[in-house]
Amino acid sequence: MYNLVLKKFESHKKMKILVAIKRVQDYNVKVRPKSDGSDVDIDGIKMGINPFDENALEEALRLREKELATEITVVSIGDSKNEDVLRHGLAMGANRAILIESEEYLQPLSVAKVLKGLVEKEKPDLILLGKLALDSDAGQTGQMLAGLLNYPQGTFVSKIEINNNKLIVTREIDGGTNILEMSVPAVLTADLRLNEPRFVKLPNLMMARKKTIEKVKASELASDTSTNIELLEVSVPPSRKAGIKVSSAKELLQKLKDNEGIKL
Amino acid sequence: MFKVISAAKSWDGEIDLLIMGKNTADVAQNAAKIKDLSSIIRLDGNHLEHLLAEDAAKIVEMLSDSYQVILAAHSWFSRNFLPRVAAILNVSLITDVLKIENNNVYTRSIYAGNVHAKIHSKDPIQLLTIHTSLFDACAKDGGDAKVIKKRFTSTNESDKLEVRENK
Repeated sequence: MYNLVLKKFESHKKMKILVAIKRVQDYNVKVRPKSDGSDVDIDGIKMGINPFDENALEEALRLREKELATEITVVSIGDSKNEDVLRHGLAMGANRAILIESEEYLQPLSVAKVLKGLVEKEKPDLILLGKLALDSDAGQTGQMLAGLLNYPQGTFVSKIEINNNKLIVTREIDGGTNILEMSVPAVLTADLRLNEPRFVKLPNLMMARKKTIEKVKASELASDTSTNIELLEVSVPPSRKAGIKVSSAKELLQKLKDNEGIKL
Repeated sequence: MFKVISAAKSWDGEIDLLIMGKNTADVAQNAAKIKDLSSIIRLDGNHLEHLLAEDAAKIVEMLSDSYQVILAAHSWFSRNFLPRVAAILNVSLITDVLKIENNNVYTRSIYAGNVHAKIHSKDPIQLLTIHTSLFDACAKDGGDAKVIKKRFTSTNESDKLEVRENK
């Protein structure tokens, strides 16, 4: 019996977790293009931590509460404005915060390259990210990072368990779920269903203000963050046509056939 | 599939279709009838039944030398593995493309659909997922594409992963 307990104790290696968080517009804000169409107008709008990234951090904290993780580091890329989301991460309970300084808005591939540099330096066992950022709607950084590191990946994750030092990951996919088993180090991206992030208490936020945020330049972590993508123009999407009422199922079928090209 | 093929016709050149999975013979035979296709590249095997992102990315990487454009429908499947392909090939992935214009210019939506962005990519391989409902389907017959079977063995890295359940 004693042996069994000992074995169980030994079988859980405590993980070091890196959580990447992005500062984006508040999800209630409707972002508009600038009048000249050169970019979006985000001056003065409410910003905060990307919701999916908050799920990723919450899960890391829960793994630490289950004594499966030791140190949780939050990292964000950008200018000093990003300190607010890092402090939010510290207030939620992260042990450390790192700001990767970059003046330019980086594309997902460049973000992945910079994070790869940090992973090689910090050597986390698990890297958690949100599955998507509310601004670019790209949903790529986690998979790209896993590809660059040649780590196993789990995307759109709604449940994380650990058994014999293996991650058992439930993923949300079209029409159901799929479950993967993988070793660490690995990269996982969080779905909103993963958990309900905790509220940040005011005293925690006050304490987080006093903590140091470590800083490193993006150029020290990745030699090339240039991109071949050029933004030409942003615009307001064409408004949707008003709906119509049909009087019978037969008319509906006819409309679908004539107007939507659906073959019946 | 038919809509992705019609999107691929935005570029000049031959179009091949990649099929990965288990028991893909029938799918490949039917796809060979699509007029717009030159060849069907087929990778089949038990180990590809629950296709892992790690394996799918390696397969596309293995084939990528011959292509300038790689596209897929925007789905959980492509969103899972194509960013991995992009990173390995050191190109960007342009997701959920609403409109393809000349010279590798695309429109996609950002900020949860509140804004449309027109972007230009200078990458040597154009890698994209398309918003299929905005594209017409191509003709489903009239063609005679050749089916080419290729082999792929799972690597050590992806042996670490196993699918335990798939509902």
